[in-house]
Amino acid sequence: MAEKKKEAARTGASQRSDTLRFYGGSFVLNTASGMFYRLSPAAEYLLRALEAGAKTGQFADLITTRYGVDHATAVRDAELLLNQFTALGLPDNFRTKRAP
Amino acid sequence: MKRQKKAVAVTGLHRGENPQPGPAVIASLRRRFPDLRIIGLSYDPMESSLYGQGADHPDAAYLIPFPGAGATALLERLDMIREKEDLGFVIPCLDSELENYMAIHPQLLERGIDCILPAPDSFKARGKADLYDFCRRIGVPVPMTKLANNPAAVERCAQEIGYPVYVKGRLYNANLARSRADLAQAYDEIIKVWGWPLMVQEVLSGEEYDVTGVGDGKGRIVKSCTIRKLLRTSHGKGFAGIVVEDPAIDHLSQRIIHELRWDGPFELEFLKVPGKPHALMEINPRFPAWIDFPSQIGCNLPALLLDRLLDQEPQPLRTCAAGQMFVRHCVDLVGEFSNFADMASSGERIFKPRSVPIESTP
Repeated sequence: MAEKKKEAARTGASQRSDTLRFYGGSFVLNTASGMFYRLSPAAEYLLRALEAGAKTGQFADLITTRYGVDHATAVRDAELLLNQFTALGLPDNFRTKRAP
Repeated sequence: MKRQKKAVAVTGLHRGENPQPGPAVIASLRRRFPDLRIIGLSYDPMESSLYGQGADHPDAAYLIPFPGAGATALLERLDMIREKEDLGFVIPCLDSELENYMAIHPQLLERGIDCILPAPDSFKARGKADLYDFCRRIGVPVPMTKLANNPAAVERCAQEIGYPVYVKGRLYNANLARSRADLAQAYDEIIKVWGWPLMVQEVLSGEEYDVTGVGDGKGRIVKSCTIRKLLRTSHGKGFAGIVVEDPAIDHLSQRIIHELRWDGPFELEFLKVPGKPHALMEINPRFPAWIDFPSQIGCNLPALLLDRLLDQEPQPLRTCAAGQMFVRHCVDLVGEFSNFADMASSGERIFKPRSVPIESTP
């Protein structure tokens, strides 16, 4: 783990998940698959919330709080983002991390 | 006891659109052994590593007969080269020449020339014709592959697998056939060059992963580096890659190398279809053309191989960290026609010392 922290410091990436590495606010790299994605501000906000321990069911509330949109819009946006995250396998990284 | 450091011969010197590993192996060796004498064994005076002047060029180069000429012709040529060079080791870098080196290994040892080669049964098991059965036996996912020995069999195999299919040569080349109409065109050229049998293979579509490493011959991977290909050429060759840390690939790699008791360098090529496990596409019995990438980030596998050939304790290697990446870069090398003429007529060329800067032509 110390080695991973050192590596993160060297590359300027943040390393809080076992396999997801954030680069600034724009990119996330899955270090196991080597796949990387450009993130919208909302996607970055929600992935970081997942990292901090949020549940996917809280996405709509988080969007409402952050962006001040009505709840119906937030629910739709949250579903769309979650679908994209799931298709890319991103939430799996957090599930694995939190497994006992 | 440590062996005296003699010259190392390296093959596969052309970095063209389908780059060969030799120059990357040479560059890696020089990173650890800057004074090492490196001999290039070349099949053609136009091989790119024979031009220019840099760390990935040999100190001297000699033409050798094509692998098809056989093991005896190779040994005879190496004996001629030995009259001029204190040759101690050979690192073969092309699939097609491995069988010849395996055939003359005892004679090479008698002459004080060593190389690390896989056992014949390991080499055969990883061949394109046997890989499917090998993987099925050890439970490693693999695309469905059938062997065909004549045109009718190719057609039957393709029909059984279902179009589209890849038609692959015994050693090199693969062409896509989308329908029965494409089939003959897909294999005609391959047959002319490589002959029968052909492999007819299910088409998988997904991300490509490569593992390079060195096996100890007892079932263990001494060290390895895994990348995802970021860019691919029209031939499917990796032109950029990023290091990944995937326990699933590590597990499969260990399983394969353990089962083969693989000795020496290898490259495992996997393909990952979304939602399915990694499938093994090929096992190459040599270093890949991108081998100098791990060397540059502290994981010098060619140097590890030479340490072993020299009977010396290998230097500890770093683990390649996920996120480190390479992009291949093509450059134009300068030469004189006399360089080509020398090599083509005499079959040998001694290069200027690398420390001498290249003079520009006014």
